[in-house]
Amino acid sequence: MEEIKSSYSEEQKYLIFETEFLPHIEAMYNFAYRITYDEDSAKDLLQDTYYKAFKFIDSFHKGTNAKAWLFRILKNSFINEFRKKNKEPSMVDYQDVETYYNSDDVNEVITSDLRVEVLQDMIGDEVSNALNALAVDFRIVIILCDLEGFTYEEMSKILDIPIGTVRSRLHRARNLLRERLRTYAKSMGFK
Amino acid sequence: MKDKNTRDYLDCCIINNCGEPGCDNYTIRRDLIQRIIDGQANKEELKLYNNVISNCNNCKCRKYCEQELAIKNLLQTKLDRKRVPLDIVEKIKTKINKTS
Repeated sequence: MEEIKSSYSEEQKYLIFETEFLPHIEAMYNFAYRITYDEDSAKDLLQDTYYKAFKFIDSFHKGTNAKAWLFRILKNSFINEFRKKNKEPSMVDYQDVETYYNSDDVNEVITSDLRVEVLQDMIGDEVSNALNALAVDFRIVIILCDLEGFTYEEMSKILDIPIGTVRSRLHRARNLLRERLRTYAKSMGFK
Repeated sequence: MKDKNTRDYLDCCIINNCGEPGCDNYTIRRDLIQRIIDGQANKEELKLYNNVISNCNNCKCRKYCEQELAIKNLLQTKLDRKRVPLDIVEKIKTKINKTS
């Protein structure tokens, strides 16, 4: 992420905080909740993120993409602190993901036996459970892209990974999510 | 990512009888489909999809695209957005004021 050094007055800092940072608080809270799956952890993560955003506000260039900047801080806080506290093991071997993506096996996934009508009949809890069942790194790319509408380029900056990796991870995440939904549909007797 | 031209995509539908096993260009088209799903396809790619792939009755790529769009729609419409706790903004501001 481009970081242009600037120096704001105290008044300017508070103005940026109010007008550029706080409008994204709902999206930030939902992101925090979706990756921690715990309200208290989400609140802590959100507070920590906004605190850091203010503390390092000089590295934010006014008028640039505040939402992406904030999401990046939140993601880094989660990776560096919250995930360590919970001692969650790394669940994704990205080399495996890349290998899978580039292999012939990937074509096996393009079956269309999960019908669109079946998907439309699903309820929110099942969709939520399917999403939450994914490893957090896969969950994050789906949230950023499908729920928050970030572009591949923005996601690349938030996650500190190349755009190609964003896309391959997204592809894999969606395949995994589809499998979860397919399993649920079968368990509910959908054909 | 390597750019592909329109011909690469069309070859699959028109020449290779898409939907049949051994569809060579699936990997190429998967990239196109992903960009369409995510609203990041350019005009030429959208035109290609609308004019060729969406009219190809046996196209597994088209079915895949429809399925992916349905899942994306599912995520956007069925997942509740959590409301931000009322006191959290005040807590954040208090913390900032204490340390600044």
